[in-house]
This record gives sequence, structure tokens and C-alpha cells, in this order.
Amino acid sequence: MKYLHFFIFLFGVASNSFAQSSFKLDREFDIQPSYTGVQGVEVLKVFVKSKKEKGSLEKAKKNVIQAIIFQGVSGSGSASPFIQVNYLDDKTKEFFNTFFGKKHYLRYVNTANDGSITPGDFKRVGKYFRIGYLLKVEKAQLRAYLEDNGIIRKLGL
Amino acid sequence: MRKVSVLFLMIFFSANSIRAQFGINTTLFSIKPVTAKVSYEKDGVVVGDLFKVFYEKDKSNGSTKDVKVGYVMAHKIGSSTIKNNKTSKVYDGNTPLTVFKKVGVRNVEKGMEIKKVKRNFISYGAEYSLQDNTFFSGPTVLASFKGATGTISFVIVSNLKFSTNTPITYNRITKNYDIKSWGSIGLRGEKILAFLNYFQVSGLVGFFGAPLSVDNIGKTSNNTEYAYGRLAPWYVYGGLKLSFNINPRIQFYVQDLYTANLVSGNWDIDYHGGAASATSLESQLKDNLRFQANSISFGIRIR
Repeated sequence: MKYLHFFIFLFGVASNSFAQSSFKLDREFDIQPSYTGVQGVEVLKVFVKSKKEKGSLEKAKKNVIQAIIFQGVSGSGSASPFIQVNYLDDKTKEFFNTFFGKKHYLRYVNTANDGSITPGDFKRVGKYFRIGYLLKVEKAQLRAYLEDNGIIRKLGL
Repeated sequence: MRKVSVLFLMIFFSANSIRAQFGINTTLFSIKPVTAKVSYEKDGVVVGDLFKVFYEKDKSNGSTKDVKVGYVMAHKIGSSTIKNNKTSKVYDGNTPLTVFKKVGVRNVEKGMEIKKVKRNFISYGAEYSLQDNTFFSGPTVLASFKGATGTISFVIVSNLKFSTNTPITYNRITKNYDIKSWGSIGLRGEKILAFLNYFQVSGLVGFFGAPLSVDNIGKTSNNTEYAYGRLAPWYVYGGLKLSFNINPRIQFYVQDLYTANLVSGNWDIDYHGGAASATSLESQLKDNLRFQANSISFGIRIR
């Protein structure tokens, strides 16, 4: 009984470190293709769930990059994902933790219409707001970046 | 003639309803400051226009309803052709942004929709001043056209109650003038200095004079001659106003006005049926009316 608290503490530390090394996807968003711009660029509308508008644009940017890389967006030019999230090894997980943790993904996503929200895309559902952003993703550059870092294989090789 | 006027009214109101259907409906672009992409050229927004802020909410049966958050008022309009201190200097590319001030609203979020609110062309209200024997003593009725922020409101002030029983001696005839009610007409400019949600602080500058009716002047106890007075003083006043907007249409306020004498040496009394005369009423009224005075008044305004 004396050492029970110590073991619980150890278990907590171990589980916390395990959580840091694992990679978790955010599933609370909807995404739909809007229109295609120039080649290698995807314009997508992302609906995120948030209690306030503040910070939801950054969340939408992260979600759309995750959707392009791990899920694919049906109906757009990126229907198939770059990589399956179930087959990530530790090195890849660490890479994506850094990629999303240090916000390197912001280089490949931007707002399509200077960040304004069109009427009807700001809706309250339950306790949350469902906010839609029109985002532009540099898909070709993102793929090239992942290829250069050895995360995915180059096409045709 | 009546048919023509009815037809005109039908066309007028139908045009207004069509305009309401195709009115401005856009979203807020930023919160600090509150801006939206509406402009003078595209949407006809002018300073003082009121917009309802709302968002959609899903109902249990699948339909949506609009939830009103509050109101915002156009403070600096976005314009690509007009450049002055009432136009916005916040630009985003080629799209001018209109800057709004919050009116009775707290939690606005970027992305909430705004819709232009149709307002009365004439706003009206009433004031009551506590001080006695000033030009703003007692109850006051006022009306203003297009009670817009930053513009000059046309204010009609009436029923300024002050009375004197001071005997006025003219041609060795002493009369007791009982001046109880009269009206003046003037212009009042209101400039909003600061907004804080429901509260706003405004500066007031105006002038008035030219009484509309002074029927009670000359009604004496010992002389039944009907007379009217023609007073032609002009006064300027200025002060501060603290308003509480419980609603964009209903405003309670307290204001402190200081009245100063601009031109006051031209007081005349004319007699109908009697000898034409002119006397200085001002000197008789000076003991009873403070021409340069500070008056605190409370009021309500409905827009």
C-alpha cells in the first residue's frame, strides 16, 4: 500500500511518455472540395468545431493538411492519401509530431479568400460553432517536402 | 388624387420590401476592430447605419433559426473614392472595410452574419432638465431626422418652461407678463466619442433661438390687449452626453449642457391693436432666467 502511489505515478509517467511518442489525428472536422485552382493546388472548404472563432482558423489549417496526408478528400484531386496512418513507424511519427507541433505545415496552406467566412458557414450546433473556411493547399509542394524527407516514396519509383 | 397618392405609397412600400429582401447580408471580417466588407460604393453604407448581428442555429427538426447577438453601427465607412475622417483607413487589398462600433452587443465573433436594419427617418425623444430658470428647464420634446452618428441632428425643442411674474413697465403701464411656454428651434450636432458595449459617450454642440410661439407673452391681468413677443436671441450650447443603449432603437441618456449667450440684444415686444413699441425684455427676464447656465437633463430617445 505504501508503494502503490509510487507505482501509480510511474504508470502515469510511462503512459504520458507513450502518448507523446504516439501520433493522434483530429477527427472533428468536415471537409469538402470547393474548386481546383492551378495544378498542384487544392482549394477545400473545411468545417471545424469550436466554441469560439478565435483559434479555429489555425485548427482548420492543421486539419486540412492532416486530411490531405492521411485521409484523402474524395471528389478532389487528392482522393487518395499520401500515407496510411496505420502504417507509421516511430521515425515517421516523430517527424509528424515535429511537423505539426512546430507548425511547419503552415508553409503549405493559406486562406483562399483572405480568411473571410461566407454567410451560412457560421452555424451553432449544440454547444459549439461549426465554422467553415475556404483554404488553399499547396499539395505538390507538400508532397515534395515529404518525399525529400523520406516519409513517402516518390511517384513512379 | 387620392388614388395617385395610394398608388405612390404602394410603390414606395413595395420598393422598400424588395430592397429589404436584397439588402446587405455579409459576415464580420474581424473583431478588433469590428469590420465587414461592405462599402459606400457597392452597398450604400453611410455613417450611422445599423446592422443586426446574428448566426444560424440548428433546431431539433432539422431546420435552422437565426439567433440575434446584437447590433453594430457603421462608424467609418469603407470607400474607395471618398477619403476623409469618416472613412475607413483599414484596407485589405482592393476591398474597403467598414469599421463598426458595438451597440448593445458583447460576444460577437468573426464570421457572424450582419444584416442592415431599417430605421425610422425621424427619431424622437424627450428630455427633462432639473435646473430651474434655464433654457432647458423642465420637459423638452425633441425630434431629429436620420439620427445618425456623427451627423447633425435637427432638434426641435419646445415647451421650455420658465415663468416670471416680474412686472415690466412700459409707457408708465405696468404689466405682469406670465411667460410659461414657448418654443425654439435649433440644430444639435452629436459626435460619439467613445463606445463601450451598451454605453456611449457623445459630445454635443448646437445653437438655438427664434422662438416659434410666445403666445402667453402679453396676456396681462390688467390689460386685455393681445400681444405677442418676437424674441430673437441666439444661443450656443455644448456639453457631454452619456447614453445607455438598452436597444438600438431605445436610448436613455443623461447630459450636461452649458448654454452661452451669442446674440441677445434684440428683444422686442409688439402689440396688436396698440401702439407699436419695442422694449428690452431681456433686462426684465435676467433676474429670472439664467442665460449662461449649466443644466443637467435626463432623456429618452427612440430611433
